[in-house]
Amino acid sequence: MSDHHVSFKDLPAGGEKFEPAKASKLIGLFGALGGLGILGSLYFFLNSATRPAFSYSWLFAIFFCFTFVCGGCFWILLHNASNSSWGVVIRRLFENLGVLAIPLGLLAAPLLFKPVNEHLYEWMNHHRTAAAHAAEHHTTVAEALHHMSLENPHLHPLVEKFGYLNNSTWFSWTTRFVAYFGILGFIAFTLRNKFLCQEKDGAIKHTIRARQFACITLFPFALTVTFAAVDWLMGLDYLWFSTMWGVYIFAGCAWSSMALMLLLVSYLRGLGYLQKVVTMEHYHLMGKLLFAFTVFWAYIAFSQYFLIWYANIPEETRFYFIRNTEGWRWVSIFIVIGHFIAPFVVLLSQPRKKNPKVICAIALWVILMHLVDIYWNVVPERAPSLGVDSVLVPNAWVGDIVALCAVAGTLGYLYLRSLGANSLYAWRDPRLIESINVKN
Amino acid sequence: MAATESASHQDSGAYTALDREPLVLNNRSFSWITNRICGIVENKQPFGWWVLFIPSVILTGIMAFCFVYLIATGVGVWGQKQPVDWAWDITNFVFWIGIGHAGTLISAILFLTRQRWRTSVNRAAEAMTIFAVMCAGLFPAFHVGRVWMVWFLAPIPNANAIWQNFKSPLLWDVFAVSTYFTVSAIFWYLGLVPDLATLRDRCKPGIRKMMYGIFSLGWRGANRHWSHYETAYMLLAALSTPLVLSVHSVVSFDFATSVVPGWHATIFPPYFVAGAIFGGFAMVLTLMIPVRSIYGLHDLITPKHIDNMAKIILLTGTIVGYAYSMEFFMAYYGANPFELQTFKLRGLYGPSTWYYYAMFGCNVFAPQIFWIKKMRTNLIAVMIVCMFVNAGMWYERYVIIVTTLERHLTPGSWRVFHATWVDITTFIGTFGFFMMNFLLFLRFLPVIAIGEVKGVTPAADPHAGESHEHGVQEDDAMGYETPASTYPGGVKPAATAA
Repeated sequence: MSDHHVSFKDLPAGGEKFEPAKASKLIGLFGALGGLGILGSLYFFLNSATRPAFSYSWLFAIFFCFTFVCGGCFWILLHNASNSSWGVVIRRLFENLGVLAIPLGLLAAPLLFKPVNEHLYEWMNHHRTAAAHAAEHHTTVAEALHHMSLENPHLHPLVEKFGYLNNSTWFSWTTRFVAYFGILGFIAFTLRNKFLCQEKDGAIKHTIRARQFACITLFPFALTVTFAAVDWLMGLDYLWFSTMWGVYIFAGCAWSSMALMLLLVSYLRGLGYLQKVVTMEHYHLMGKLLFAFTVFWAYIAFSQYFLIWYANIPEETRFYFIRNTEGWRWVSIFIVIGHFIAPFVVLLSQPRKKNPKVICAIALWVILMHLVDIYWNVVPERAPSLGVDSVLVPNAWVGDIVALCAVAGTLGYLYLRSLGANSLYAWRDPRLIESINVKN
Repeated sequence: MAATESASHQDSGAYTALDREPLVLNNRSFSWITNRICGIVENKQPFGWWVLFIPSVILTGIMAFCFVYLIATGVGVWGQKQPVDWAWDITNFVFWIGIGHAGTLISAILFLTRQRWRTSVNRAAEAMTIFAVMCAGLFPAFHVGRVWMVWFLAPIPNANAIWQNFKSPLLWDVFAVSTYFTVSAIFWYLGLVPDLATLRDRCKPGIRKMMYGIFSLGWRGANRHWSHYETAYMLLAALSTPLVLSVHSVVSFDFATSVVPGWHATIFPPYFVAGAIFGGFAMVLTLMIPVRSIYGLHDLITPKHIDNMAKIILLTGTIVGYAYSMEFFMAYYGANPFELQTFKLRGLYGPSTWYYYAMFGCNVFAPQIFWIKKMRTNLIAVMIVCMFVNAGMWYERYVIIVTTLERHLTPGSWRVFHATWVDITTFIGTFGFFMMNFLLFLRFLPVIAIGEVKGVTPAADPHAGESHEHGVQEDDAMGYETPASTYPGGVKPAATAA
């Protein structure tokens, strides 16, 4: 943290290796939360009375963690594609976050099965009925669905969007489900491997190749986030749509993952790691990006809300209508204040961004608000979809906490365990010294 | 040779840094930079300047004639008739406002993100903003019919106690654009102050010296001056950035708040902003590549600058492509027959589908050539793509506005729009007006921020040369060859750390 120029000889040979034993308490805590959460989740899944509500809990927990994985991939893609240097010292931590796409995919697998997704996605139930009719009458699912829509006009939109929203063609919801995790995992693994190779031979070509790879995969990444958001959240109400939806979810991904990185870097520094490579300038930069995405999220969220409110078209307003009813209304107001106004005001100040304790408190708040935002996006659909005569399903919040513990606890455990496998930063990256000595 | 050296160095287990490319070539000194940029203002203008200036003045005159004709005859001289009540006028307004937004956005956002390469292009981009917003403002002002009553748009109490409709995005546009123009002009002028003082100090006594003296506000280059200047500049950059976003978002609200199929899309605000950055960078390159050539600014506007801007055009073009695709996808996914029909008419079987293909081709496909490094450093290729983008951004607005209205919700009144000669000549005239202003800017004001560009030279870096690491240039490490024709005299300069 000194002001003198740090050179390569000032750094430990081979970078810094994380010793899991030093973080045994936190790893143990995550492991315990994950283990107990999975046991609890098994109970909720296997019990037919709790399964419908718990399906939403699981989707909420999976999607919450999915946004961090997407954020990890986004930051490494952006960092490489923009040829920037400042983040070299923290990039490995993002790479490890992106790599969690694969275990997250395994945890998300219950969503693929009928006993779970039949409570989440009404359209799937209609398709299943159509598939049964199709098998009976030796016709196609699309034709059977069309036939059903003649009797029930509410199904007509499903006929219109059959090409995308289906589970019976090669381009099905299930195929895409697998592809999303595959794409994210591929991006994160490939980029991390390039820099691990560089640690062996020191060749600059790996940096250049990583940049080229990042440029090429930015667009598939954008499509992945967009369509995952469409399939998993927008699909909860198959009549609702918004062209902004993918951008809205993306804004939350970038925002929350940067907050997580601030917490992680501070934790590692507290254990004695990264002392020579991460400076207050990095905190300032991360704080500025957190601020930028606070504003970006607000801009996107406001634009979406405002245009839907102003135009007042029933098929669009339903989304906000159920989130502006009874108790959810206060959550909506809380999100406006907590997700935008509070962090915006606090992050305006430069000294606060350079103070690790303050910025970590803000980062913690950001993650909490992101949690509320994802909860607000998923859970209000639960009561009306399950036919409960209230805005909330009684006692379902227990399942929400259990699911969150199961998914976040397991991923946290795996993440911290995996940190020890390689150096905490790319110690032979040709931009490392530039990164350490960054001034802004 | 360098590649071999660096390879052996890497294998030895040591550390090799990747040097940044220099932002000023040939190790140019401070005095060279001052002389070269001030020389543009102080010397007689080259032949190329006159070749551009005279036609620009003529076109400005034609534009003025068209407006006089419109006032004398009525707005009917433009081609819009029911149901296409907005046509070239609003298309041109959004086109110019998009370019107008990009300049300050480029300057302010690149400043806030500490992109040092901005110094060579920010001044011209800011100037472009001012002139483009002036061009944009002409269209709605004359579209009101009685242009002398345009002050009714301002919320000033008048004799009839008529107030504006504050619920209308069109009125928000008035506030947003006028605020933006004011802040952009101040931002541009503030950046000019130190350079105006430089020109003042170099001038012989006379009216020029007096004018530069007045506008340089007594600047002496003292530490206090610089300190206040830098604080003010950063604050204005921070103020400009949300303003830019808000203005083009408000322009998008003109359409998106409606329930017209094809206009009501929640993605419009960021989509319009991305389009503005895209079109703005294309226009900056369109202006700066000839300026670089005419005034010999190859050492200040380097292949690196052009490469960076080409990459941004590629990125933003792809973002715009994402927005086009998302609109189409949601028209399908939303299963609203009117929305879907609008997009089918736009892109598949309507009377103006070729505009849609032109838009998609120019804005999404043409920039894809920039995936190839050689194309990003080939000035002819860059200019051609920029021309495509300039045209494509106009087509985009035409597609959104005109092709939607041509096939609106009442098929009985469908009508294909045909532009009149007044539409066409007025629009071409605004290019003359824009160019005339830009050329006068070149004539009287420094086109590159002298003080700022000096700050990115090695001589301005107190820590230059402190690094102990062996460093290589990317092209040397990878064995790339930048075309020699890109450099002045066809000779690649020696690399220096920026």
